[in-house]
Amino acid sequence: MSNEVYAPLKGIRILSFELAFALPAGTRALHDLGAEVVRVTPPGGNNFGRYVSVSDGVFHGKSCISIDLTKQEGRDIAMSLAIQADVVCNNFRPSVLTKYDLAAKVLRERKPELITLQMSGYGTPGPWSDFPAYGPSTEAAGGLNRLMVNEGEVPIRIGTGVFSDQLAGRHAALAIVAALQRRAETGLGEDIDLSMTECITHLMGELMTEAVVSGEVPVSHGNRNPERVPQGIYPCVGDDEWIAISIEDDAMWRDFVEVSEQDMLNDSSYETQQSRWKHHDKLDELIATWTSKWDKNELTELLQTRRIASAPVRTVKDSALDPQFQARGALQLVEHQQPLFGYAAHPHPPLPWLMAGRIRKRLTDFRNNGEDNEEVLYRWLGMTKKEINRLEDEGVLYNEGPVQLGTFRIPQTNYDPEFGQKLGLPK
Amino acid sequence: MRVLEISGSSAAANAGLLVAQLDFQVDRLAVDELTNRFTEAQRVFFQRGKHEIERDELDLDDYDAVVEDVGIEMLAKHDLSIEEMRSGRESLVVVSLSDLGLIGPYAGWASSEITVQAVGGVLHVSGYGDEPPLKLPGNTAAMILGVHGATAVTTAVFGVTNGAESGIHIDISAQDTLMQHWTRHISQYAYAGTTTERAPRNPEGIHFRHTAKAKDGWVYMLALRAAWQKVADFLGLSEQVALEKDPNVQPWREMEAAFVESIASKDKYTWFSEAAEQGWTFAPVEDPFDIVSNPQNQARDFFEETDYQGRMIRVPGLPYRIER
Repeated sequence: MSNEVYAPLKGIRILSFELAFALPAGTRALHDLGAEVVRVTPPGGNNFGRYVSVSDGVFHGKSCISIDLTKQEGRDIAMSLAIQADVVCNNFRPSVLTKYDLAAKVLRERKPELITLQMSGYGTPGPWSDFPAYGPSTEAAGGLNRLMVNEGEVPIRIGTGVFSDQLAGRHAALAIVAALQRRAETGLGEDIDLSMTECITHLMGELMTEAVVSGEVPVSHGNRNPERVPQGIYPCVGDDEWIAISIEDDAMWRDFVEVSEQDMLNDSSYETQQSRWKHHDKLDELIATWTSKWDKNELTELLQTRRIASAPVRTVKDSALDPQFQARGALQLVEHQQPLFGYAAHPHPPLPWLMAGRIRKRLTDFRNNGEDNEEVLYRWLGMTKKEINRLEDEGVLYNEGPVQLGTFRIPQTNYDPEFGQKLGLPK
Repeated sequence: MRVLEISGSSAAANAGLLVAQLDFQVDRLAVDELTNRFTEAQRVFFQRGKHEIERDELDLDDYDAVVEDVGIEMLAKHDLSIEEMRSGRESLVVVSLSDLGLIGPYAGWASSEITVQAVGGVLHVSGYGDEPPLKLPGNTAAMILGVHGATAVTTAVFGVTNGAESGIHIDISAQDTLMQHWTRHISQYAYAGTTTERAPRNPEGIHFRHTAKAKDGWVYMLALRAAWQKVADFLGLSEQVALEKDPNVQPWREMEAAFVESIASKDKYTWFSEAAEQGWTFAPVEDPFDIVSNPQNQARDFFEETDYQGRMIRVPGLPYRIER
């Protein structure tokens, strides 16, 4: 493998008015693919949790400038930057940039080949356009929570907190590169309006289609699958440790019975998929009794010797240590300018693709509000240090300097005092 | 941009669908043993906007990119190994989508949607704490992989178009892409040593971050960083509030009946819009039929009509509106 970084978006400039997680996740992907991404924050940051902003990793690698858009001079600088950009995007509520004369229409009048992207919970137009949303709200409105359960059951919210955000971010990256490709073919820019809720509904597209074809909401089988029997999440040794097992057909079932050496499973009434479906409760009970004596990783290794579909359920604690993640470089240690919470570096996922013969861009640490005012405004607009200092003194620009998290209080619930050692974090 | 899709699962099928929905040309390789892997509903959803092409009509020189999820053996069977496809085609992009990736110790593992969700990590924080973790619906992992596949194809072709890069083979796994969806949990543990557990099905009491039954369906209630007294007033529970600041230490057991009655007094869209006026992020819990007909999706013209056995049905369109 060569040491050359894969950078198909080299030379592309992106100006992003972003907060929280969704759009930052998308522009992080574009950064990872070689684009220069400058994020713009208001004075004092974006009012989102500082610790979360630093540790989420979605701001990593980007420059950060801080502009007070309530001031005319601040809006003029933002407009000048937009003219220098290939893409301008934001995930404020749709009315916000309009208020500052930075709406897509205004920007495109000044630069027709510009690509703009507006991301929001529900998209525009529509009666819900300016309703505020976090990712979990859009999962509910997009159909995910309801499709987790059956009629009459309480809909379940999946627990990642940023599931919809990450998905919408990925769609934003796709929409932007598609627009860049079209611009390369036609010379024209475009305005993209992305709804996080629609991204969830599109993700559920197969089930949505099944519903409109059949006239009924698809039945949720939970961890089971009538096409693969038995299938489930079974307990293993340890607290909240599990293995996933999924039997594709009768031949795989016979292998499973043989490798498990469980006489109770060797029963003619379990020979066919149909009969196993009928006895799924009993089978789950028998399988769980067996798996609960095993370590999840060792049991997976055993089952995979016979190519039985299975995998350990990764937890927050062991995910970073997963051998496949490690072999594929799915996490990079990102070095800090100064140790954070006692460690010199922390792991973050880079671009999750492997490019044959090329390497991925190395992640660099979070940049604080306004930390790159001088560098970006000089390079993009030719502004002098003296001019930038004046604007900082007058409060048009804001510079917080490097991040300080020493006083941040972290909740100590479910605390593992040995986490640093387990993850091998450098001091 | 013209893309060849060689699909046997939702991953490459979704990648092809998104590229087609973005108005680029997508040809799907028509091979019966691959087509037969899809259900009827999947075919209706995925095949929109694509052309079918037979193997003997195929000329790879016509394409900028190939996206596939059928694996090395199946490709070789049709004389389309990655080496053969890229040989002499310097600008061709080939994107391979798979459950666990083409390299690494798990590359040869047998897998399925649920085992990928397990090893990808999202599953452990889904469901209830006193039950096994719960799989996400449908082929969520494969569909997410498809979004990455579409992005990889489009980005890599753009890299060729603008002269920054030449053609390339990209290997993307569902495990790697799914892991990105719970990075906050991984970071939380790596930075602070803390973990978030699944909540039990019937926790002691309830609080306002909750899914509750409105007059006509479920409403999801999230009022992050809101003062509890203000939320209680909004829910019509002012008189029941015993402690002013923290919703988690309210006497929920005594309040539950009043809470249930209050939420049931309005429909879910009313709660949604009234909460939005307060700046809070409530949301209606929508089922597929709500989604097809709700006013927001109607206003955005999100759904596309497609023919199904002689009748027109509505299926999700591209999740963004584009104005040129």
